[in-house]
Amino acid sequence: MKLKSVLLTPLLMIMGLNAQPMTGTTLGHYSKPGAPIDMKYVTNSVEKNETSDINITLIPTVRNGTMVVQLTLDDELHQITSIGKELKFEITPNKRTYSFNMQVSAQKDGLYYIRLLTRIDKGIGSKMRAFAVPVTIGKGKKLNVKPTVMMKSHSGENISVSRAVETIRVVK
Amino acid sequence: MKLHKFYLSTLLLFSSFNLEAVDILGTIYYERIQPQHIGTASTLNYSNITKERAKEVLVEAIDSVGNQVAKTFTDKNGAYQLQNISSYSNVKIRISAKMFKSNRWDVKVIDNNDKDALYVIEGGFANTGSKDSIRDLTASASNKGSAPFAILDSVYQAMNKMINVDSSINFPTLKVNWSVDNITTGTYYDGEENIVLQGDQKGDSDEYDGHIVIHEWGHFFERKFSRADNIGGSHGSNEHLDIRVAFGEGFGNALSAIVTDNPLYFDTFGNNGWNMNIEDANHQTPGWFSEASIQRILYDLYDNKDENHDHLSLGFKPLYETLVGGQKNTSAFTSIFSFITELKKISPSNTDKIDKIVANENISTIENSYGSDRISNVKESALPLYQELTINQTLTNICTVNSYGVYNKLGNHKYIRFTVEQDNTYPIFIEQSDGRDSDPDFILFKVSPFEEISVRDSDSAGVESISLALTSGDYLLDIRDSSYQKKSCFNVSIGDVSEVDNSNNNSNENSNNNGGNHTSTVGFTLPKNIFLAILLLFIVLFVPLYFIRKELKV
Repeated sequence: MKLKSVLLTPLLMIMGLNAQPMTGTTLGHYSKPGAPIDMKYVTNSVEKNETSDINITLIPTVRNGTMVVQLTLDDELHQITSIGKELKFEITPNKRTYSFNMQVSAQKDGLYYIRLLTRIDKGIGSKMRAFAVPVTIGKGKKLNVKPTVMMKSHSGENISVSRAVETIRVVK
Repeated sequence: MKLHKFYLSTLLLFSSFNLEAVDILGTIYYERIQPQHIGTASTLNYSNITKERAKEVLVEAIDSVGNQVAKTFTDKNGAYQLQNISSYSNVKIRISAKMFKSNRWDVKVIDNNDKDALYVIEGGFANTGSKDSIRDLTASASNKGSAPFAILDSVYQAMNKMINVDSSINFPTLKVNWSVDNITTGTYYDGEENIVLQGDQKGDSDEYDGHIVIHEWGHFFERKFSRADNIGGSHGSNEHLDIRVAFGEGFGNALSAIVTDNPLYFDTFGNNGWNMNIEDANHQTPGWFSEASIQRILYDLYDNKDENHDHLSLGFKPLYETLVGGQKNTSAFTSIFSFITELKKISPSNTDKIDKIVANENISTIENSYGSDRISNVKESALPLYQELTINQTLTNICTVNSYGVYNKLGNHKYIRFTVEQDNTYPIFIEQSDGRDSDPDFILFKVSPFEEISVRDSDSAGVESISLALTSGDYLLDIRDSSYQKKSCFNVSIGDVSEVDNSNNNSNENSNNNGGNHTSTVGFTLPKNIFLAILLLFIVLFVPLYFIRKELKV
C-alpha cells in the first residue's frame, strides 16, 4: 500500500502540474438582451481519459426568482459526476453567486463544450441566455468540420466558399 | 461583287461581336429558416425555409484561372447583369456577402475564426456559349451558405430605414463577424466597426434572428451617428437598469421592431428560444430605468396604431433627427430623459401626446435631460439621478447601492454635474464616508463636445483621486463602487481642498487625456503642513546626494 502511494503520488502530482487552469467570464461584457445572468468558469486542460474539473459560477443580476439551467455536453464528453440535466437555484437577495462543480473526460483530444441554457422564472419573463464552457482535452483542436472551403480571391482576400444551388438557361 | 463583299463583311462583323461578348444575368437568392412562435417560446422551424432575394451584394464572373472577368452588384430585387463576358468561355459566378457603394455603405460578413475570410457562394464552371444566359444562384441553408446573406439582409433593411429619412447618409465600414465557431463569443457590437454574432449550431446562433442582428446594428448606428453612453453588461426587460443602459438596449430593441415593422422580437437557440412583444408586453416594472419601457415608448412614438395612451404616429424621421441631433449633443448622459427632452424640441406641437405615451410607463412628465423631479418609486439612494457640485466645495453622502444588482443596475453609478469657470488644475477627490470597504472609481466627461477626459480605476480602498488640468465648461462625473458593496457613501470634492491625498495616485493610473487642453498633473504635491513639506524636501534632495557621495568615495 505504501509503495503504491509512493509510486502514485508523483504521478498524480505530474498530472496535476499538466492540468492547465482556464478561466472565462461574461461579466462586464456587452451582451444581447436576455436573461439577466452572467457566468464565469474555471476548467482544467487535461490529457485524454483524464478528469477535468469544471467549476461554473452563475451570477444573476436580479435579487429574486428561480434560476433554471439546462445543461448539455458535447457527445464525446463524458460526465463523471452525476448532476442533473436541469438545475434550479432559488435566488435570494443576500447571495450573489451560484456555483456548481462537475467532472468530465473524453477519449479523444479535442475542444469540447458544456452548454448552459439559462432563464429566470418568476417575474422576469421568458428571456433566456446561453453560455458555453470550453473544455480542452489534449491538443484541443476544434472538432467542427466546416462546410466551406478556404481560398484566396483574385485580389488576395481570404474567402470562405460554399457551393450555391444554381440553375442556368440561355436567353432566347 | 462590291455589294456582296459589303454584306459579307457586315455579317462577319456582327457575328464577331456575338463571338466576343455575352451577358450573364439572373437573380441571387438565399434561404432563410423562419422562426416559429408558440406563446413566448420561439424556435427555428427547419420545415419552413423561404427563398429570399440577396440585395445589393457583390456578384463576380470568375474564369478558369481565378481571374475576375466581370463584376456588379445585385439590385434591391436581387437581380444582376454581368456584361461583356467572352463568349464560349468557362466562367463561374461568385457571390460575396459584401455590400459596397461609394459614399453609401461598406458592409461584409466574415469568418472571424478563419483568417477573417469573406463568405462567398459559387456556382459551377459553365461555358458562356454565344448567347446571353440566365444563371440564378441560391445560398443554401443546408450548408450554412445562406447564413451570411441572411445577416446581410437584416443590415440592409436597417440601413434602408435610415436612408428613407436621410438620403445623404453615408455609413462607415462595418464588419459582421459570424462563424459556426462563435460558441463562447456572445453577440455584441465592439464599439468600433465590428458586430460579433454567435453561430453555435448546437446552441445559440443568431444568423436568422433578424431582430438580434438589427439590435446590434442599432448599437453601431448609435455609436457612429448619435451617442451611446451605454456601459454594457447583461440586462433584461424587467430590471432596474442604469439609465444609459436602459436607453441603449431599449433603443436597440425598438429599432429592430421599427425596421422590420414587426414588434415580435425573438431570439432562437435552435430548438429553444424566446420572444417578447415590443409593443404589447406586460408592464411588469415600468419606469425610466426599464429597457422594456424605453422600447415601448420609442415604438409607440413611431407606429401608427392608436391605443388609449397613444394617439401619435410620428414615423421614424423625428426619432432619427432627435438621435443624430439633440441626443448626440445632450449635456446629460443619453437616457430617455435626454431623448424625450430633445424630441419635444423638434416636435413641440406633440408635447402632450408624447407626455401621455411616456406617462403610460409610469414616468412623470419629462421636463429636462437630467430627469429632475422624479417621483420616488425606486429604492433608497437611486434618486436624485444627478447631483450638482460646486468647485472648491465638498458634496457629501453620495451613495451607490446594489439593491437592483450589480455593474449596470440602477444605483450602481452616481452622476455628478459641475461647471469649471476658469482653466486650471483641479484635484478631484472621492473618499468613502462610511468605512473603507469600497473601491470607488470614476470617469470624467466634458459635455460640450461630449468626450471622456479621464478614467480612474485604482484598487485603493475607500478612496480615489487625481489632479487634472480642466478647461472651462460643464462636466459630468460618473462614480461607482467597483466592489459593489450593498451601500457605499462618499464625499466628493473638486478643487482646492486640503484633504486631497495623492498617495493613491501611483496605483493603476489610467488617465485618458483627449486633446491638448487636458493635462493630467498627477504626481508630487507638497503637503500643506510646512514642517512636513520641509522634511519631504530634505529627504528628496539630500538622501540621493548621500548615496552619490558614498558611491564616489568607493
